[in-house]
Amino acid sequence: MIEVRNSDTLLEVRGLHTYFYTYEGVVKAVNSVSYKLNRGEITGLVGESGSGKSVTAQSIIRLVKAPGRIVEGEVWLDGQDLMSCSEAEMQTVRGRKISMIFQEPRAALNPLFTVGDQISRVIQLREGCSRSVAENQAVEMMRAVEIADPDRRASAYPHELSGGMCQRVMVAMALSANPLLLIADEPTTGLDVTVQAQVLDLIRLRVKSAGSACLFITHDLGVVAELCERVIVMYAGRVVEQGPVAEIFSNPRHPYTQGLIASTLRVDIDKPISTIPGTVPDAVHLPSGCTFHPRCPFAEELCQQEEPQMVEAGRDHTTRCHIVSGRIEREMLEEAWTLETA
Amino acid sequence: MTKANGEAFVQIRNLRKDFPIRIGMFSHVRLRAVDDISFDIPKGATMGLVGESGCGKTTAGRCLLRLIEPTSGEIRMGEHNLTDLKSEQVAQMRGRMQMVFQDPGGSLTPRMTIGAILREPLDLHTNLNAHEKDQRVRQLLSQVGLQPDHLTRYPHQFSGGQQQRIGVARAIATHPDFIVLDEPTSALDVSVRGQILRLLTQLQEEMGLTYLFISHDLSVIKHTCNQVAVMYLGRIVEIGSTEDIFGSPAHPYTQALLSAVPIPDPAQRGKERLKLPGEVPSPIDLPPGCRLYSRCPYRRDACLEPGPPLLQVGESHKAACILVDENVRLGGGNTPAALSQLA
Repeated sequence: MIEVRNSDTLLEVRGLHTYFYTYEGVVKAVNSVSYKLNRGEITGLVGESGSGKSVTAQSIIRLVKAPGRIVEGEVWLDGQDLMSCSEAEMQTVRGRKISMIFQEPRAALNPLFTVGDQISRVIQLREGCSRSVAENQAVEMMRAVEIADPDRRASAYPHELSGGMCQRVMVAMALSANPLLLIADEPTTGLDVTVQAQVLDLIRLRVKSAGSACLFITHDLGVVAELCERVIVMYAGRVVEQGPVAEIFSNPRHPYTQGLIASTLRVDIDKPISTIPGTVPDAVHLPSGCTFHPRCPFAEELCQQEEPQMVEAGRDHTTRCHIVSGRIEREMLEEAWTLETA
Repeated sequence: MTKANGEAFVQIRNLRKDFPIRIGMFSHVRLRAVDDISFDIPKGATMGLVGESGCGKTTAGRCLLRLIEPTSGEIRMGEHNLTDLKSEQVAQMRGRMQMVFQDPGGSLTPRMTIGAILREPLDLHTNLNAHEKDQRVRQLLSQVGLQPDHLTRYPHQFSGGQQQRIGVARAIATHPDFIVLDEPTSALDVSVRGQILRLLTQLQEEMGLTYLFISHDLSVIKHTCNQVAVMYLGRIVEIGSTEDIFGSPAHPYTQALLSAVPIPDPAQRGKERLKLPGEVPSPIDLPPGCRLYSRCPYRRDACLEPGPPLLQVGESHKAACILVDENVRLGGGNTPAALSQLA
């Protein structure tokens, strides 16, 4: 089957299901997830712990750890079907076409090698060049990510550098391969805000200048608002809403997105503390129907019985909610989130 | 946020904590984690202690409860001078001052049921009989929004938010006057964070609690505290009411910290920011002058001289920046605009 692809689309995920087979039962960590990433765009993947955001990323590079398994779905990267690649082909995709930045930079770096060594290895693999050439390029990469005194720092071990410095090294490593796609999994969680601002600037600058796509996983809506062009919101393994960043923040249609925005505290304006009642559901025993219904202030009987389908909610904006689709006639009031709930 | 009467309940004067760092076999260098900090917390109020990692906020909080021994300085709580007390006497005081920790799972003993965890402080600090303790434990559970059948469960059977509720219940078990909250919501999801913050505020109103709220998250501090102290490398660089600190921050560090916080509103993207280059320097053997010197965009030679002391910006608002004097004399505040004009 030949199909016309939007030339801006770099990565397309279609109907991805990744399940974990545990003793307690099957955990549907990623459940029928579909989205596209465009070149030169940063897409934020938001959700709370256990929503399946990291497993989505691991599924793209096919590094899901047992007992997890990709059950179903397609992942197309620049016209290449990653799900039908051999493991050897995948090896060249990882690192060359897709790079990843992890949450804990110190844990992701090898403690036994200097950071200069680790960056130059990536360059050597990509270019097939000599070691000394790669080492020089590594120093240049470190300069590019604004590491002061890169010549000296290149011979430092990860433990000799601060968390922010290690994260810069990770960014340098991830970008030295000139990847088509950069996946950043909570890259600034655990960094101080002043350092976070520097790392975000760096990622934005590098992604824009290289014209690559970036999937930025975070739980911080503030970071999304500042960095991303598009947003994907996940809840309990499902994408519940996606769209352009301005649209999602000014006109969120899914109750979960609304609650998430309402419960984000702000330093710039005064507002009462809002909260979503209840807790994230147990992954093995997900609620019936819409998985958000036990916490949703607008839920009705239909929400318990039937899972809502993805529907249009605006231009380039889709969501999964019976109220938006018109199956339930009801108004969603913002005040619902500020009410006291036990 | 509760209204507090003005009288200081917790008083900290010139608190200092040094840690010896071993270098080589025989020599030590000194790491001054907390350097000469002073503040008051009125009864029933919440004081926020904010700063980035390594600024000494947690060390300060632990010194306050004498969980670690301060090197020098004075801590008063009500009529007691905690620094004069012997360690046995401090142990007796523990029922009146408690702590809630950052990692809710890690701060609960995994082998004890919730019932046993909540009974422990009652065994140590009260003379209740078995029946009364039982009643108190049940009352505590309902106070923090948990069910009686949770008593026989173990910590791992609860979600992070529920574990933190247990941590709070344990802290309030002995009817304390003062609680140090050390990043109580940092490990929690956004949607659950609000629930814990509300619970803390509600308990404060019911029980007249005084809080020291330690956090690196400025938005949480803004929503929970009456007063705020900003720390950088062991020193308080700015202190004032929440409105002062968030409305008209006077220290360049506070200004940079506030402007670095991402705003969840795409419309505000690209706003002017005060950026600090580099990172927090090593806290070992710091020079005597302003700690921010190496990163401050407004620095001048005078900043290298010892100090600067906390200078009055407003009625209850002080900042440790030599430019405050100049700017206040000129009739304005120490605003970013005024600062950049001087620099």
